[in-house]
Amino acid sequence: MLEDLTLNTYLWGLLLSLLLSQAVAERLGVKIYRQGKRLLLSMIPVSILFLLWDVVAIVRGHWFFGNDMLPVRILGLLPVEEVLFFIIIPYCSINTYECFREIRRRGMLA
Amino acid sequence: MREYSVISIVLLVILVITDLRFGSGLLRRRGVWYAMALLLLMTVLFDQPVIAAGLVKYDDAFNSGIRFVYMPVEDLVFGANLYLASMMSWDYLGSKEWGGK
Repeated sequence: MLEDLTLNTYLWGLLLSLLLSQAVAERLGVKIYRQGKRLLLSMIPVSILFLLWDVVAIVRGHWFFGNDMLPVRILGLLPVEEVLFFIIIPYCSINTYECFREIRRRGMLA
Repeated sequence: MREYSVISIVLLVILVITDLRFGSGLLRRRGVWYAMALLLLMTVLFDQPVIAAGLVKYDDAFNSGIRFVYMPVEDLVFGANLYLASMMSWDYLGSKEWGGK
């Protein structure tokens, strides 16, 4: 199954988002991963809630996927990229939030 | 029915009310707005190639049909939901009741 995974635009976008966000955080000395338990506990319910929304939307046909392009599916429905999205993007959101807090703490932004 | 529009707007309203009335009022802090603006800008940029490549497609029967280039505007509301929920959850677990600051 996983051998069908290709480094498509979706995966590139996710990796790039994570890299960008982490690069800025490192420069600012923002290390949310140091609070591992808090991070995990805050991300899990959000990931689950939005994955549920995703499943409902897919089942109802709000959005769908180019079948041949995202062939690796979890439970035969969710592209693995979609699951990664709901892990990586909440992480990036929290990271971005903490980065701007740090930037404002340093007085670099009003 | 415009289900995608309705679901995304209703959930966002619930989140905003939860934050302002029952939560710590993240939306009253300017840093959150900076973060939200940057994240939404990234959403616009990253959505385009993914939709243009045909990886993700939308049925316009369920949304407003208004697209920002390739991206349905509802995706911004979806994004705002996800970003705000993540920040609220993180903030909540950092509060005193959870042994945070």
